[in-house]
Amino acid sequence: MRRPASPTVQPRPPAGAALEAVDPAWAWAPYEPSVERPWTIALASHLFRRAGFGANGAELDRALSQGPRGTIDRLLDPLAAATATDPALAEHESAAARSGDAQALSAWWIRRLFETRDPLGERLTLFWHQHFAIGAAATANLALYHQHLQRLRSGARGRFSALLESLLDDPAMYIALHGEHNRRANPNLDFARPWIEDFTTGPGVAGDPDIRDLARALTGWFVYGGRLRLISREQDADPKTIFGQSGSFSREELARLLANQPATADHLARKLFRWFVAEGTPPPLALLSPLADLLRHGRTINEVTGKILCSNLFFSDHALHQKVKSPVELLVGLAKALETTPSTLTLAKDAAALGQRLDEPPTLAGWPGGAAWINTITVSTRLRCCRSLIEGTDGYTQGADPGQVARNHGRIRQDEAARFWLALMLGDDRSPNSQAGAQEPGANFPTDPAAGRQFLDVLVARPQFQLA
Amino acid sequence: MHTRRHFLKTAVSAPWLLSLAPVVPELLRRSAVQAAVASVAGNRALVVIQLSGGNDGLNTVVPFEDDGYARSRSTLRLPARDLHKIGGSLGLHPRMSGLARLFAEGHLAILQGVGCPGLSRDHEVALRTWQTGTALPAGADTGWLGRATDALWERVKPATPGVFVGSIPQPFGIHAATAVVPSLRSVPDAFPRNDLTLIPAAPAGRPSQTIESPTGVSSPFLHHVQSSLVMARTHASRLANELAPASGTRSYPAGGLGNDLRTVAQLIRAEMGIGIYYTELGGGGIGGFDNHANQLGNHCALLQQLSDSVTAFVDDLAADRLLDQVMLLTFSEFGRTVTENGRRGTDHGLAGPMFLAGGRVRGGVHGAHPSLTDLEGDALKHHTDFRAVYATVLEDWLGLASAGILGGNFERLSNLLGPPAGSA
Repeated sequence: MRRPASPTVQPRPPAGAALEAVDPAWAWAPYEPSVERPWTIALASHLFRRAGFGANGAELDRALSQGPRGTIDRLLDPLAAATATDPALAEHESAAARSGDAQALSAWWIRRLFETRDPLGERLTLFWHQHFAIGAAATANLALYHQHLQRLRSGARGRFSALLESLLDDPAMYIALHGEHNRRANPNLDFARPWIEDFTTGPGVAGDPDIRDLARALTGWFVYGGRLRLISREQDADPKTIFGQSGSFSREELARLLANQPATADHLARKLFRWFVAEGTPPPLALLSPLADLLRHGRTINEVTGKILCSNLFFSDHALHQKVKSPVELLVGLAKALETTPSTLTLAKDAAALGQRLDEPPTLAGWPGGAAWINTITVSTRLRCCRSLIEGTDGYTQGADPGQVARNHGRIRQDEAARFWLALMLGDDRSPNSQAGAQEPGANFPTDPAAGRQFLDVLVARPQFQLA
Repeated sequence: MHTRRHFLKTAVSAPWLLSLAPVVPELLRRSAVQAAVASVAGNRALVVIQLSGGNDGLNTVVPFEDDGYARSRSTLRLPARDLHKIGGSLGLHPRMSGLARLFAEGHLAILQGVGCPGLSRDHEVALRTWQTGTALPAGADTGWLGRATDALWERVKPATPGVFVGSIPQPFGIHAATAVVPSLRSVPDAFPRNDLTLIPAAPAGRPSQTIESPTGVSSPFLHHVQSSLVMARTHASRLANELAPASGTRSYPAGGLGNDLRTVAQLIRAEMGIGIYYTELGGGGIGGFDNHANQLGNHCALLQQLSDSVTAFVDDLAADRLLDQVMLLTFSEFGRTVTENGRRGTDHGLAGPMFLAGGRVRGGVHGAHPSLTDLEGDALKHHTDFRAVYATVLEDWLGLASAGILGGNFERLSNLLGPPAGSA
C-alpha cells in the first residue's frame, strides 16, 4: 500500500462534533495511537468488523500486539490475497454453480467468508456485489452468475475502470439487465441507464442523449450460448456523443469514459464511505473529496481503502458503531468468534430470513443497510439465530464451548474468560471488576459449556452487538 | 426454558454482570411501548390473499340467470338452486356459505369485472402484472405492496411494516427495496422461544443510564436497535398470552389459509403496528386455481377453504371489535375462459371478481357482471382497472400517496369505503 503522508494536523478527538464540522485534513491523516486515543480492543475489533467479517481471539490478540499499521498492512497485502482460498472450496463453488443450485452456491460463498485468508478482499467483493447488484435469478444461468462473482472478486482491489471494463464484457450483466439482444434499430435505453445512473456517475448527471448514445454504443453485443458475441449487422457504427465526447467507442473506451467522469469518483467515494465508515447522515462533499481525488487520479481501490482504514476518522467516534451489522456479518462474525464450524447452508437460510440472500440483492440498488435491517421481527429473529449458533440447535449441529475457547487463548480464570468474551463479542475492554459492584463473577462458565453458552446468550442480546 | 430463567435470576443477582449491561432507560421503554400502541391506533391493516393459478370468477360469483352461462358450461354449470343468492341474478358458489353470510351482514364487497388493458394470459406475466401494479412488469423491481411497505416503514419504524404469512417462497407482490419483509408460518417464527425475556430491561431501583456504546460513543443506530428490542419484547409478551392455552382458541378451518389467517389475527391482536399482511391460497408455482381439466371438485375445495377461512378470520376479529381496523382483499392473476374446454376444465381468461371484507368496507356488489356475449377471446372483459382498486386501498385505507407507488394517477373508487360498522 501507499503510506499516507505524515500528519500535518495533530490527531484530536472530534468531541461529538457533527460530520460537517470535521476537518478533512485531520480526518484522512493516519491515526497514530496516543495517550488520549490508545490502540484498544475496541478499535481493533472495529477494524475487523469493517475490513473483514469479525475476528477470533487469536486475530484480536495479534492485532493488539501488532498495532494498527501492521494489522492494516496485512489486510491490504495483495500477496496474501493471491493464495487466500483453498482450491477445494473454489471447486465446490463451481460444482454448485454448474448444477444450478443457488442455495449451495450461497452456502459455499459464506464458507469462503469464514475461511478466507483475505477478509478485506472478500469484503471488497461484497462491496462490488452491492454496487453491481444483479441477482442470480435474473441472470438465469448460475454458472454465468458464478463467473460474474469471480470477476468482481478478481477486480475488487484494482482500478475501477478495469473492473468496469471487465463487467462490460460480462454476459451475466447483459442478461440480468435485459440487454442481451440490444439491436441497432432499437437501442435499449433501460439496459444503458444503470451503467451510468447506478454504476458510475450516479443519478442526475447524464442527459437522455448520453444514455441513448451509450445504448447505441452497446448495440450488437448479443448473448448466445452463455457468451457475448458481436453481431456486426446489429452494431450501430455511427459516431456517438457521450458526456461531450464523440467517437465510435469500443467497450474499453466506454469503460474509461464512464470511469473517468468526475461524478463517478464522487459517487464511489460516497459509497465507500458508507461501506467502511458510517451509514448515518451522508458526509459533506468536502470530507469526501480527498477520497474522490485519489480515485480521479487513477488510484486503485486497494489504495483508497487503505487511506480510509488508516485514517483518524475511521478510528473516531464518527465511525465506531455508526453501522448496523448485515445478517451475514452478524452470523459469520459470531461463528468466527465461537470457533465453531456451522452448517453454512443453515447460515445462508438464516441470513435470508433476516433479509440478506447473498445471491439475490433486493434491487439494483443493493441492500439498503443501516436501520432498515432491524425491525421488531428481524431483531428477535437475529437473537434466535445467534442463540442457535451458540447452542448448536435449529440446524447448527455444533454448540460452542466458550470456556474452552477462552482457555485456548490463555484465559483460564473466570474473570479472564469473562473479559475475553466481552472483548470478542462487544469490543468492550473494561474490566468487569472496575465497574460498579466489585464482586467476583459468580458464573461457572469457564468449566461448564452450558453456563458458558448462557453467558453468551446474554451478550448477544445487548443492543450494541447488532452494530458493526 | 426453565434453565434459562433460572440463569437469568442468577445473572441478575450478580452485580458485575448486571452493571455491564447499559440498560434500556425507563423513559425510552415507556415511549417505545406508547409508540407501539399509537402506531396501531393510527394504522390500519391490509390483508391480501393471492389466489394462485387464475380463479374461475364465473363459477365463483355466478350469473345464474344468464343464458350464456348455462350454454357455456355444460359440465361445470352450478345448479341455481345450490347457489347462495346475493340479488341481481347473482349467486355465490355453493361452498361459500360463509362469504354469503358476510355479504348479508354487509361486511363483504364484491368488485366485478376487474382487470387491466392488455393483461397477459401467461401465468407468470399476468401475476407479475398484478403483483407489481404496472403494465410493464418486466421492468419493475418491486411489488406494489413492497413499495407500500417501504412507505409504511418510514412511518412505523422500528415496527415491522409488512409480513408474508405462508409457507411458499415470498411472493413478488410484497418484494420491497428498503424494508425487510419477514416470512412467517406461525407466530413463533416471529418471536421464537420467547427468548426476548433476555433483553436487558431497566431493573427496579437502578438509575437510568444514557444510551451509549461500550466506548461511550453515541449512535443513532443504537437507539434504533434498543427501541426495536423493547418493542419486540412488548409484542412477544402479548403474543405469549395469545398463544397460552388458556386464552381460548377460536375455530379456523384446518390447513393452509386457515392457519395463516389465524396467525394474522394473532399478530393483529398483539398490536404490532404491521400494516400489510400478504397471504396466499393455491400453493406456489402455477397454483391450484389453474384447472384446465376436471375443475369442479378442485375448485369446490379451494373456494370452501377461502370462504371458511375468511369467515373465521372476520368473526374472530369482530369478536374482539377489531374488524374496523382491518381490510381484506383477494386477487387472482386472471379469470378463465367462459366456455369449457372439453376436458371439464377452463383455460386462461382475463377479468375476474375481487372480494373485499372488513368493518369499513361498503358491502354489496360493485359494478355490473361483465357481459357473457361481448368477449375477448372467450374471456370476460374488464370494466374496472385493478390499479383503481389499489389506489383506493392505498389512499383511503392506508393513507399513502398512490401515484408514486403505482407510477401514475388512477381514479379511486368513491363508494368502496363506508363509515365504521361499529363492529358486530
